[in-house]
Amino acid sequence: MIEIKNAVKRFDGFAALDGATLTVPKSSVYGLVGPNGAGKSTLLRCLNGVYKADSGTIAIEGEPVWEHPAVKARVNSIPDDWYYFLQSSTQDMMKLYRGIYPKFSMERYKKLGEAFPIDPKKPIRHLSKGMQKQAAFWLTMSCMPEYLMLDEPVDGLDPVMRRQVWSLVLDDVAERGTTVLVSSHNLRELEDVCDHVGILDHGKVLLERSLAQLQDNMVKLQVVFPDGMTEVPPEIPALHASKLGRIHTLIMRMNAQKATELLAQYNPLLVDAVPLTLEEIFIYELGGADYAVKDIVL
Amino acid sequence: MQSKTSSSKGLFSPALLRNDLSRFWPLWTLYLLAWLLAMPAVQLLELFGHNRQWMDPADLYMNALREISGMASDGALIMSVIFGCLFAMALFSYLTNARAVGFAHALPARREGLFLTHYICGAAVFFTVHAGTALLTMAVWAAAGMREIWLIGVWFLSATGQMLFFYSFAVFCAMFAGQMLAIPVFYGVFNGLVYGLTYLIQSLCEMLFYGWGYSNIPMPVVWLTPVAKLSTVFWDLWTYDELGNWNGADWGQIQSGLGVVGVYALAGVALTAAALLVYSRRRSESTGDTVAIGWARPIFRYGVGVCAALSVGQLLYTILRDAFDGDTSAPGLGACMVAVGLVGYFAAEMLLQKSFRVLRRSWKGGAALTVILVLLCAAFSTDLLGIEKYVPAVDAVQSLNFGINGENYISGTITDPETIGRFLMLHQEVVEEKPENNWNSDNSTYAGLRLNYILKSGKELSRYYDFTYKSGEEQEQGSVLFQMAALMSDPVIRRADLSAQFLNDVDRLTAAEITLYPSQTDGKNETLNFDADTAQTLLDALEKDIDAGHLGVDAFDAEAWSANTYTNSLTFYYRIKTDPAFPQRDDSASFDLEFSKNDTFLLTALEYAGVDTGLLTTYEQMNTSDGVALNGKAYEYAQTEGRISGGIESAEYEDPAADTSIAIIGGADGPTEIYVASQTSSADTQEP
Repeated sequence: MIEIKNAVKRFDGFAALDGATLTVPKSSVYGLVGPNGAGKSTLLRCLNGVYKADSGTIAIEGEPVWEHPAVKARVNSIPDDWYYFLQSSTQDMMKLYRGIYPKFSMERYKKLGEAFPIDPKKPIRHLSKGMQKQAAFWLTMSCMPEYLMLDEPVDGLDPVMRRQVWSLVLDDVAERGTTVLVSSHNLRELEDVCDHVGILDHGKVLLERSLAQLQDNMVKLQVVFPDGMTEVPPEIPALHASKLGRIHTLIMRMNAQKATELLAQYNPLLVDAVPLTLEEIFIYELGGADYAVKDIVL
Repeated sequence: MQSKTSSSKGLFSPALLRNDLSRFWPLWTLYLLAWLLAMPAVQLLELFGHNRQWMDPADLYMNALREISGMASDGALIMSVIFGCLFAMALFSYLTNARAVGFAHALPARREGLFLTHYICGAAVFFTVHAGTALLTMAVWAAAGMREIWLIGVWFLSATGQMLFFYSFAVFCAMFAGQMLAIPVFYGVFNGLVYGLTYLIQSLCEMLFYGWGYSNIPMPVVWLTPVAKLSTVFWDLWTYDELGNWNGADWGQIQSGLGVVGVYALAGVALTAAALLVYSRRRSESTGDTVAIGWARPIFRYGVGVCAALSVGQLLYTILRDAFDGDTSAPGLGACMVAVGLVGYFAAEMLLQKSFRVLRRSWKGGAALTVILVLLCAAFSTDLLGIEKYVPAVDAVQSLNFGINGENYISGTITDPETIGRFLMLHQEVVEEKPENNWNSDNSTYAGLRLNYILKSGKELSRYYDFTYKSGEEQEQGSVLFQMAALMSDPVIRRADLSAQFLNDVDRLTAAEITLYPSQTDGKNETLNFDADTAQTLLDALEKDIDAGHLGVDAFDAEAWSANTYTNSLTFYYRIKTDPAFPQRDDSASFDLEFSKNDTFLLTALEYAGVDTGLLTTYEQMNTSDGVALNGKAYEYAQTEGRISGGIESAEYEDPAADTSIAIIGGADGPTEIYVASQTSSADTQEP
């Protein structure tokens, strides 16, 4: 289990993490989402032991990560800007990973070679961005990580390779109990793979729940009110309301049954509850945190 | 779970070491090749190449020894300075790249483990290269029958010790650098910083303190400038006999040299520990900053400002002062220093902030620097610490090296307290009166006083005063010039001067000679030579004149000096005392004595020796129209020495009849035969 409690990390006075608290359950796939500059990459770097938090706790299975080689040996990460030595090939990097990570599996490395169509002797700098990402997965998954930190993991991969990569990751979660923390803006994809989601904004975790809880906690309703009632009554706690013809679309922070009961007192002609996508949840949650699409006239 | 490091604490990673070795192999190979070429390859070519066909085996042998000695001193120093920095740049360059730092610091190893692994890699490489080079060179020497194999061991210790220091120093600098280029810049600056600052502060003192004289660079400053110190430790590893023949190793020099290298090697170890400490506290996010350590940033900011003020500020002021032909002005100097200091400060701030817009954020620091520089200049110009007026107590002085400049210059070293006390009184008088250098006055004549005290505390105090005076001032009782004139003819001081110039070196006199300028009648130069006994008689007479206070009485009276001082110099030839430190230097020397009509004992002795003193020519005579008829060579000599003024075309004074040349055939004991030849006589030989 990954535990982050009240983590604060400042850069020249600016708090990239401002009391962030989150918990990633063992063997889960945790999606970390948030707007640009929310502190996702900083949080991942703190979890990797690259940055030292100014205060708070960052621990894996109760052990602090900072300067703790035994803990870090169980953690692998693929940052957005994955690093390789300029003149190195995948094979050269493999030798380094093999020497450093205690669980590195040559057998797995060879097997994964079939999944990733990369010449292991070719310098990595000569590979395309997507192939470099494949090389990163190849090497990282060969380390048999117990904890996997991914920052925009499939960025640059083609659709087939995306499926391939997610398949590998989810197999690891299912078979070996790997815990995955993934940060991405591709919410549609996260929705497919994550079982937990945390939303980070301004260095704080706004909310974190299982995806099911999250979807159960917010509902989108399409409502047609009786004749003479053209506006949504102000006492209805809608996060967002829009109207197309006579159909009102309301987003409400409650489950579908409760929302339907609330609207029933107005005798609506039609009430239809529709589940929200993760992207909609993200948008409407952050809309409440003063982060929304603004109508700008150019 | 254990990481694949040497311990669970992750203090060393063999995989990272292997990675370093394979990644930077071109640099390691370059270093190896450089030493292989400089040591075994050169020795192989020298000892077994074509030199063997024509060179004397002894010369070949000595060449080989000298080359390896050179490699132990200058060679090792140059290689260490360059490659020490390159090694550190290669191994710790990842600290200047954000992605690389993210990668390295996410690895399952402690910061200490990363540091030690990279550091050990560099150290292992140079140690292995040195060991391999030494073994190969030994093999070549053994094959050539060289006996001084130990010298290669000296090279090994010297090269390894120096490399250890410079490599560690560069690593230490790398810990503060967030950008690649900052590593060699910090390394270069820190290598010469102490020496440079000392020089700049001395320069400032010279401008602002009346009489400030450059002292020798203090020993701690030399030690803190490793290149300066290490360049002198293996000056010469060999001893020589009295004839200058090679006589084996100078073990004292070798031991002291290796001792110095050992001290620097230990300093290298200490710097490594300091670098490790800095690294363990270095924040990964500081990558890309010019200065990566937070507490070092104000030091950098203000340091650049102060250094710019001291260097470019002083330079700017000197240029402006010279351009406007003005005198030194503390406010002017202060203004230049503040202006340039602020430029340096804000430039440093721009580097730190990586922005040109720094004025609003850092103006307070600029104001603080301005205050510091103004206070510094004010303190200097008002002599807040009493440096300018400081005159040591006689009890505190161990020795004094003096120089007095009047119509002629004398210098020497004295240790007796009474004479030192007289100089101290003069020193006190000078700092109170502050005589100035003012060439605008009429009849100005130049005088100078140099004082270098060695204090009993081991410190050195140097002062130099130069000023001008009007004729007759030397007669004013109690005046600075009066005291200087009294010292100029003082027997103790004249003897100290003669000792410094001549007597201290004399083993025995071998001959003397004097050249008389042509008489009006025959127009020939005449050189008279004296044997060793006569030379000794002349020297004894000179010493009587010294004791009688005859020398230097006209030193501050230009007219009397010109009327009394002869242009003819008396030359003493002598063998010098053998100095064990310089066994191969020429063992004979000569000394030209300028004398005057006041030196009555010497003139009498010259007459006894057969010199017609009536033929001696004073500078005043030389300046008269009669002087035109004198030999051109003598005239030119006198003119070169600045004793006579005015230009005379050579045709005016050349006497065809006096077209004479002098040839001296001499040896170690002075001239044995002197030929004076003219157009009319083929040769005129004189026995000394």
